[in-house]
Amino acid sequence: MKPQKYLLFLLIVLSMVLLGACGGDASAPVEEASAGSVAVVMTGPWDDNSWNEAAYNALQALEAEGVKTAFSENISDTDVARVMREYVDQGFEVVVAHSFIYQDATFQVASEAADTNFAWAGGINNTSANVADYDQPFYEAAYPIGVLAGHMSESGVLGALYGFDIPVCHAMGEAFLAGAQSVNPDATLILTSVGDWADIAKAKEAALAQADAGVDFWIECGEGPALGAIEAAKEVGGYATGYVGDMTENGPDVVLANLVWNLEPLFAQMLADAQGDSFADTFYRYGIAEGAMQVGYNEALKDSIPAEAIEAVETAMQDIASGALEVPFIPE
Amino acid sequence: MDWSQVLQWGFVIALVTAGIRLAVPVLLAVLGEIITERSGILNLGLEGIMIVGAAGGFMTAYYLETGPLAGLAGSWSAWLGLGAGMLAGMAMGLLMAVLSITLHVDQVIAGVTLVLFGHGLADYFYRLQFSSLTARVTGLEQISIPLLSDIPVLGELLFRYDPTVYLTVFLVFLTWFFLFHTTWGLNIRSIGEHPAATETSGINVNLGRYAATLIGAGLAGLGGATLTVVQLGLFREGITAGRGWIAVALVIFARWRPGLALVGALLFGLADALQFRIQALSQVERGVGTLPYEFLLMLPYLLTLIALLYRRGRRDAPAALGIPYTQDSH
Repeated sequence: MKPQKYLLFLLIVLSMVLLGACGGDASAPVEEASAGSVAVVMTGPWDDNSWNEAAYNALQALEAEGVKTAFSENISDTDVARVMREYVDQGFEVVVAHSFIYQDATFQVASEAADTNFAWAGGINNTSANVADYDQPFYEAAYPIGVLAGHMSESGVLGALYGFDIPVCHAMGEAFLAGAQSVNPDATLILTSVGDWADIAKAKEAALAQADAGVDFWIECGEGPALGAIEAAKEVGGYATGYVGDMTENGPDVVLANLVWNLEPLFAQMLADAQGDSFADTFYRYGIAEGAMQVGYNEALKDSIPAEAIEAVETAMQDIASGALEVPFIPE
Repeated sequence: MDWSQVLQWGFVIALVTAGIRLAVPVLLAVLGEIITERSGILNLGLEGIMIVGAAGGFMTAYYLETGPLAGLAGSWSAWLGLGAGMLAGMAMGLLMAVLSITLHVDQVIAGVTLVLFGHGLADYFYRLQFSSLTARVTGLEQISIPLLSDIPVLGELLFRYDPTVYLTVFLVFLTWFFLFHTTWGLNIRSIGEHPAATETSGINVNLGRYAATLIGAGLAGLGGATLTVVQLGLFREGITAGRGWIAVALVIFARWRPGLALVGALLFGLADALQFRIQALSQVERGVGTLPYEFLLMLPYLLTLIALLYRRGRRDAPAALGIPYTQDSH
């Protein structure tokens, strides 16, 4: 290669690397704050209207109370150990690995940093002396949304749209159906796996296929499936549900309610346990009773819901919180 | 499941229209890659090019519909968005061309780099511009072709789509005509078979390869833009979800022929549409012993694999595919 060509090549590669590397990463060292410090590592973007945004919102709420917070987004499982080590070096008290796929890296880094507390989104009660696990009982909130669907679905055919038919998702669909059947015993469920968590176009086609089979009320598991079902509902009518965050703005006319995950009480408790030295081997189970699982209505459409339906949803929420009603957990 | 449901016209129509919708973005990229590979350049960067086209097209259409520029383009905003997606794809193609043709970089490495770069670029600019992910564009209206669309069944099957579907069918024809019935097409094909011999007959090999790479990338960008501007009306990170890679495989399936590309992309789209419908229908009565859904998800990919196994395909590849051309080496 001629020298000037080599130079051009270097220039192009360098500029590509620079642009490609743009994107969030760890920040400056933490001052020792009395209210504590939490850092979160995410697999995708923080503003996904969903899973990661739930963690982001919790961090914002904690920051308002004086807690030092930080987060890293779009971190692959091959890179996560490095990012977590950086947070350890910066002195964060609690480092949250906000994905199931971070399991191995979390336990690896935790074994190197005994003074730092880690938590990971396992949901399978896999813990150690400085690693806590927290579950995602979306199925609990799926039940009251099912009650709503039982009132609002005209066909009585409900749709569950998953990225893949994994236990967390499957339990959501079954609880959703159980909730609907408490209102309409004839309600049925059609569940479809898109085969991809991010492919919105395929998810939309899958939802349209469900609509052809009669579905007019969807619950979804995964951001791609949720957005796909919302777009499908816009086209053929019916209602879609926001997944793990407020997705109302994605479909103001079709998103009736959102399954909302509020991580603030969970993160606050983790911080308190870390400072109180009671963090070890904890499996946090934060559902409706703890205020971590909520049903958020689309305020603009709330008037179109019959009062008895809203009341029934409220009753279900209270009964679940008080323990009077146990939502069936059917993971497969 | 009740197979009588499958044999009704309503089912067939829904299946075919869904299959065609799924096929269009991939088919555009396949057509582009056929032109590029016919000139001897193996552009594996389709996935990156498509996502840049998807982002560029969406942002252009969005700003022509909203903000200070709103109303300027009127109903043309979606078309301008598609055009912008094509241009964005061509910009990526230019990068590929400089790397592989001028600098003789290994084409496989250049292509894979383009994918990573494209994802970074698209995400970066999209998030720089949009603080919320709820932005939408209106896209294009479905066009029912007068008279023809009123024919029972056939009308619904073939003549009620958004304009990009008709455009894509036309581009299949155009690509075939260009490659096999014009002098330019002949030149590009001969560059891909034997660049040194082509050069001796007075044809500029590098120029031909630049043109073929740019056209190919432009079509891939158009495919990405079709997905975001027309089919979904939204953009998300990773929205192309591997369609570029499937397009690379379909080029081999199609044995570098536009007509077969149409068949391959349709088969792939139909297989996807069919498996979603089997999943949905097989559960109307739940618990009945049916195929595991993982098997159904596998169907389109299984089809691709079987097609690739057909060995004759390899022999149809342009002889100089993937080999950098330098005048002094011959």
